[in-house]
Amino acid sequence: MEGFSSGRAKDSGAGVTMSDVLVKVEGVSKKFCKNLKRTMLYGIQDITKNMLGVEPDTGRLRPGEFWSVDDVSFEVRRGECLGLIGPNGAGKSTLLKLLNGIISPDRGRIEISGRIGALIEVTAGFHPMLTGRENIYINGSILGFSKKEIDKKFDEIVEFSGLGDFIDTPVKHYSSGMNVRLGFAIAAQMEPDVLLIDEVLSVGDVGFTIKCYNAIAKIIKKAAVILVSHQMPQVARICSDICVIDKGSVAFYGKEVAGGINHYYSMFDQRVGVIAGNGKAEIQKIEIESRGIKGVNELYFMDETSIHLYLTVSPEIEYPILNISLLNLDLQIVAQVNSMYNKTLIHNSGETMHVKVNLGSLQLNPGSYYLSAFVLDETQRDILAQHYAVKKIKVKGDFIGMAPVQLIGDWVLKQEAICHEK
Amino acid sequence: MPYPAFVFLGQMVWLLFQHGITTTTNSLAEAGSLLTKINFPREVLVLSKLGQTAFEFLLRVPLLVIIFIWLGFIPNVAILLVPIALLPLLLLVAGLGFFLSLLNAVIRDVSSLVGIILSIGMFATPVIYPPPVSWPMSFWINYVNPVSAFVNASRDLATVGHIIDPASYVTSIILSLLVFVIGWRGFHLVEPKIAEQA
Repeated sequence: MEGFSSGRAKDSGAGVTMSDVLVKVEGVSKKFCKNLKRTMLYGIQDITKNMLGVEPDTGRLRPGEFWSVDDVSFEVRRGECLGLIGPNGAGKSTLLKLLNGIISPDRGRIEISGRIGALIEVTAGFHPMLTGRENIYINGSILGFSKKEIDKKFDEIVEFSGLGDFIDTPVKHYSSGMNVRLGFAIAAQMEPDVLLIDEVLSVGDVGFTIKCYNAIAKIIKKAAVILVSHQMPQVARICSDICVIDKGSVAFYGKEVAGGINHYYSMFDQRVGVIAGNGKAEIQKIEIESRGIKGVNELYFMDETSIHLYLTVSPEIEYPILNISLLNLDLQIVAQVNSMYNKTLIHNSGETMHVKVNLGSLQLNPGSYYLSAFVLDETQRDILAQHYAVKKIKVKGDFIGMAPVQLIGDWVLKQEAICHEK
Repeated sequence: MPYPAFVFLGQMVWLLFQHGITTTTNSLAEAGSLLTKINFPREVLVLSKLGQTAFEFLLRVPLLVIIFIWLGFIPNVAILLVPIALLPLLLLVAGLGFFLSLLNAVIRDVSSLVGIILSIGMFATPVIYPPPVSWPMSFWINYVNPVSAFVNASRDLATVGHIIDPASYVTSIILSLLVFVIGWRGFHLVEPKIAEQA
């Protein structure tokens, strides 16, 4: 296949160096056609040219075509894990197909050393009438194992899948989670030099997900891994390098995984805000004050920050409780300030109230966050008014941390023997 | 050879060809996500269907034996050579299968068209009638249709123990080899493009 070469990684005998480049992608581009009839026409043209040995004209775009992958380059070494993230339709799965050798690039070059493993379609080849045990052999041979290799690893596979006695029932009775567990168990026993993963870790319970992470961590030590995922916490946890793809081209590439993830978030600009509640209270305005200036949306790490709420509450509630939450961009609550837990009573004046809560130095790591404000009754069970994710705050700083909150620690070097971890 | 046995044996060979072509043509279209998600030599899909069809052929052998016994017909010992004599037919089916499966993967109507042509094709092959001897029919049916020679050869081996018309048999072997080589080569060249189209 032109533009694609693969060979076995050679063991120099003196030990394999940990930093050999296993995946090298240079200027790779791939085009597709949007129109079905044109696709068939171009397909026949290309096939005929292929058969006659004429070089197909791959450099330019014919009418109706677009670049699905446009001039992408990166390298992955053994021991590294590259996260491929980007919006839907950016070209990530196409890139994986190019790496897997299923389609060939129109421009550029891909070089892969060693054996390629893929966690893309883990339940491939499963025949519903056969038992799990028999399907292990089928799936294994599709992945490229020989029967002897499967025999050797058979018990480990059964044990990893955690299916127990169900291994002898026909696969058609399996739930989707069990299917993935079996498929993953087989694929995880491969010892590939290059591993491609395409969003397979979303099914499966927590116990199995942890098993998967551990298995992948073991594989990463001896292989180069490329992971496509939409779950940023997963990417932040596993990946050592990051590549953000937008509309087919590389928007961000490097070792700053958190920076790449921030870039990914900045590509989406959505209004998330939801205003609801049972109507017994109304929030007129929410303002953020930092460094003495009111009405800001951007502040700096560790700035003196206060939040102003202007609200009215129905007179029947004498002591409403106010709760402000800060959410990360995945809409998970990362911080909260609640008037009751802060041991403050707010007496409802019956008219428009202006409440200010002083947060002191805001310990949120640089990044973007959403702000929600809730007015609750004395039992905290009725939501009188809620403004969910109505404000987007940007915290600026000169570093990018891995967590939402930075605890301020007092670091001291003590003169004691230091234990080295094995 | 009694007529029922004559037809059954001829039909066994014809069905080997017909089912072989039908299943191999559909093989790539059926594979679905296997084609687009996993990297493996696609010839395997076509050849596995061929293997299934050959196995079906062998499954009919006991039926043939029952028919022979019922009609009181004892075949020539050369009937054991029939599977070997049919090997080039498998190559023919494989070659055509390679070509048609690719076509069908892109344009799905091909399999219906192939089905219609095959159903007519049985009448252009000496399955239910003995091979014609007079020109021009003898030329068209025995030489141009490569399957005829295999049908004829298997019945010849069962009755007289040798092939009556070696010229048409050899022509069919050469044709089958050609089709196989061209089909396989073409498949190999076109295969990478199919994952995009399928």
